[in-house]
Amino acid sequence: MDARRFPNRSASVRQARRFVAEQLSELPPDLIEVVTLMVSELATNCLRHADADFTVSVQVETDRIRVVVADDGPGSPQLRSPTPSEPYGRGLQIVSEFSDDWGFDVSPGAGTSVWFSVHLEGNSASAANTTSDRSGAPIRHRVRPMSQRAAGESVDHIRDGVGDTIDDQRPRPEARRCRPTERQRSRNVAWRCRKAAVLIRF
Amino acid sequence: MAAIDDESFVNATAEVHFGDEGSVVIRVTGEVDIATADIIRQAVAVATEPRPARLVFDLLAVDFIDSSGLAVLLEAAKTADSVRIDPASNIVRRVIEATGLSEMFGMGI
Repeated sequence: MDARRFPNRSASVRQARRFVAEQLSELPPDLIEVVTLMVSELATNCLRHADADFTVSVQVETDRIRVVVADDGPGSPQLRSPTPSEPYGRGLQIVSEFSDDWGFDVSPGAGTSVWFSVHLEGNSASAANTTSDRSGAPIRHRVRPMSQRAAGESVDHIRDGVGDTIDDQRPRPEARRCRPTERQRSRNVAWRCRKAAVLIRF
Repeated sequence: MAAIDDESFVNATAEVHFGDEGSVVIRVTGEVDIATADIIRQAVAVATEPRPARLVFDLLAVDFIDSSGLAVLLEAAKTADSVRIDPASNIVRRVIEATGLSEMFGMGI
């Protein structure tokens, strides 16, 4: 895992994107684009809401990328669904849209860390060592834009696997590994509970 | 590469083009995020005084945009009678679609 700390200033957001893109340079540009977008959102949240330095950690595994953005500031992330007349509040919405899984940890006095992961499919070799990505090897990520989701379909349902991706119709051994373990499922349940608490405050 | 990471390096531009019949085009290039959103905001302020009938964002040369950039576009939407994005780069299209704002900016299917 590679991690870097960035100072509390607006130029750090771009630097954080560069840092993550460097870690993922062997992966398809399309994937790098969405991961750096989500990093940009989480780094921006650190500046806007915590007003603090932040640390970005990138973990590239065989079947997924996991990124953690942590700061020392107070407060917990809040997933919102702003109307078009509200200019702000879309950062976590974007993370929720483009990640396969995300969540956060808030420790009183120890800051906030928000993480997300994106699954890599059909990747039997280590993602970091795969050199054939650019020639069209079937490394893909499961990103479904909102336009392909049923109207009103909630993130919770997606996490539950309702209407989940293409894997369900085309079971492949290497794709099955991408499915959540029981431990991940229980973690998602905990996450949903926390999110509900957040939403109640709105 | 060092220059790109320099804090003072600003990696975005915005140009205002006043057209006929009350339409204004703002052409943006580069990366739009928390550090550069004010560049676009200033261009919008120039473009929307007086209030134009049509405001068009040319975002074809935008290499990156996140929700800080979206915020500027949404603020701008309140300052003109109609606002649309045309044309748009892939990342712009992707972010706009993911946030359900395609219709808002005249980018429907």
